[in-house]
Amino acid sequence: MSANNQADSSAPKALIVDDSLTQRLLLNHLLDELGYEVTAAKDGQEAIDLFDPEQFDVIFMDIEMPVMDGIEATRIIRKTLADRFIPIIFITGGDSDKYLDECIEVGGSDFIKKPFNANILSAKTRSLLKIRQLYNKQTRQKAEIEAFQEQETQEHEAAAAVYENIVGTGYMQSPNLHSSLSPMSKFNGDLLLCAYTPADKLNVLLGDFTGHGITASLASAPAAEIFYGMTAKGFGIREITTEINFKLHKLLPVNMFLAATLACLDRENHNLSTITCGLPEHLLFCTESGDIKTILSNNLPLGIIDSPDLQLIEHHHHVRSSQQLIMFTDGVIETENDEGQAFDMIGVEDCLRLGRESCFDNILQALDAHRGQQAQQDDITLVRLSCDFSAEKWGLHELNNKPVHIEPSNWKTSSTLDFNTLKRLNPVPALVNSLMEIQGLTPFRESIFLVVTELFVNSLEHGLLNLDSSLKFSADGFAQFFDLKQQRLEELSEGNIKLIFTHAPYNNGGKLTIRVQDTGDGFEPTNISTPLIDNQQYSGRGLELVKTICESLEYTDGGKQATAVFIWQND
Amino acid sequence: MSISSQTTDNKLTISISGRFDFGIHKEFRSAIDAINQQTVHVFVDLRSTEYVDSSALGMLLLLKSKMNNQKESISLINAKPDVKKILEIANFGQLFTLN
Repeated sequence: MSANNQADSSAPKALIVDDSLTQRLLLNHLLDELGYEVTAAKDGQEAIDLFDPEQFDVIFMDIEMPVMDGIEATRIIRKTLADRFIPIIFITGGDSDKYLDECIEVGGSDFIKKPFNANILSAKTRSLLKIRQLYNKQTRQKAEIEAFQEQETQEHEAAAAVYENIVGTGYMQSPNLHSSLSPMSKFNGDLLLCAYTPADKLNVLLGDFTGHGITASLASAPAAEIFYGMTAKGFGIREITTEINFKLHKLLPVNMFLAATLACLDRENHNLSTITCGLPEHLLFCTESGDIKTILSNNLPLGIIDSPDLQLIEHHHHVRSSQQLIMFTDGVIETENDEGQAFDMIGVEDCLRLGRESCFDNILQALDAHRGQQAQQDDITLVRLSCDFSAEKWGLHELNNKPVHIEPSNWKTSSTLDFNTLKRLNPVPALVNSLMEIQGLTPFRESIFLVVTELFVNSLEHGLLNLDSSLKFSADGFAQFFDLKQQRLEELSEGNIKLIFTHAPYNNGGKLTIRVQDTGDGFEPTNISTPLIDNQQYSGRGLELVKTICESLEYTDGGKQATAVFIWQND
Repeated sequence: MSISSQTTDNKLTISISGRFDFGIHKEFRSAIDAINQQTVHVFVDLRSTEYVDSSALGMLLLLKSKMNNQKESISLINAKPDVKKILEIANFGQLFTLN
């Protein structure tokens, strides 16, 4: 910032440019009387040579002079001043009126007529100096704002990088998930997360925070950490939703919340579970038949009420590979056209029916066309979750075979869960985690998780709860099966499940024996298992998978005890 | 003025016309400042409300916390179908009396 040399304390400085010595002396005298410090030049060229923008507050310029006239000198001085302002007052008299237009054009600020009148001179200079002060103040403020904006941009960029790292950590691409995100700023108020559980289920979270930009995305970080952390440990979407709600309720101000949907795609059961919390309705669309099933929001958005009061409603949909779940945030259906009409659900459904295979692109194109010249008004996120379970799309995830050397040891641990505990929680994630701790079996986590889950779930569903798995085979069966499971679990008044883990060194690694016992009536394991013929199997693949992973699997005691042996090797 | 409010018999009625969004945040806040110990009920009249966005839902939550989170003491009334739909998507029927 250039110094404002007309500081209140020091005398203002004037430059007089005139070829007439008499005029120079006269003006010098008058300005001296007004308290100015005066410097004089006899023509335009000398004025330019003398001129230093830091040194003068006002210039008096004659028009007609030898060597260089006042108009040319003013043009040059204005150029050197750039965005600084120093008033230049033209001295007029005789026939110089004809130059007035030109004087203003090159940057003259005012005129003063010969012979000089002391009062007029005083008034003019005072008013021009006031303008100069205002101008300088404005220039200074502009520079401050620019510096602030620059700093803010840099901070935003740094924060956006941190945000990307947190939300993107562990982000796993899924061939089943396609999305289009158009955030309004560097920070996205919309959030899309996906990850596979150790039991090979695909968890997806689509969320939309109140507002957009930095405030909206601030709370994305804890939500993402919970989602990834709990999915990796094998928790279901109900537990994850409850935990995110708990955290956001603690963190967010009263007027902020997260509208979200959590979905879990279960290949094993060809089931899609959804917990919808305040996003616009989703569409379950069949690319073969063109059928559209609407999935409405039936829970409060997250972060509004405390988790114990949150009675989450979860829906289960039996799905085929030809089905897709189309989800979006309200930016999609609220996109307005030139007439202010919203795109709305009918617009979305039309797109789906028009091009079944490329429905996703159709929606995006239609949205662009609808918006026309209008600017984007909200974050827009569009998500398509394909229920295609074929091997190419899905496939078993590669088991993590990172070479690690583990010293195998002998140990045994067991847990007994009574009926009350079973009503409250799924013990598998915590138990499997403790096995990881004891023996450092993390590289085999997915396999062990799958085995423990299968044996435990069978004991619970078929042993203690006496559920018939043939229910799951029909189209709406899974939802019925689940409802019945919930009902029987709530009614359960006795019984327990015991899980025993025994480990011993074996060859170049170890042998983990997983035994699950229940106090139910027993069941015939072949009734709940069907051979692993292809990937289109509806249900019952679980035990077959366990057999391929384990060395052996055996049901004894009339189905009341399952024993699986898992063998691992050091590389 | 897109918000008007009046108190009769310790019942506060806030009427919102046009767009209920962040733009009227300040007015809404000053309207709910009228809530005091004597306030027994708040009616939010949405008959002239054309549009509701998520920050409006946030403002309603502020109102709710000012009324000590009593569902029975806040009624959202006369909402047009479009506005009602937004309230239903958010399942605000669990937090407010809708009619």
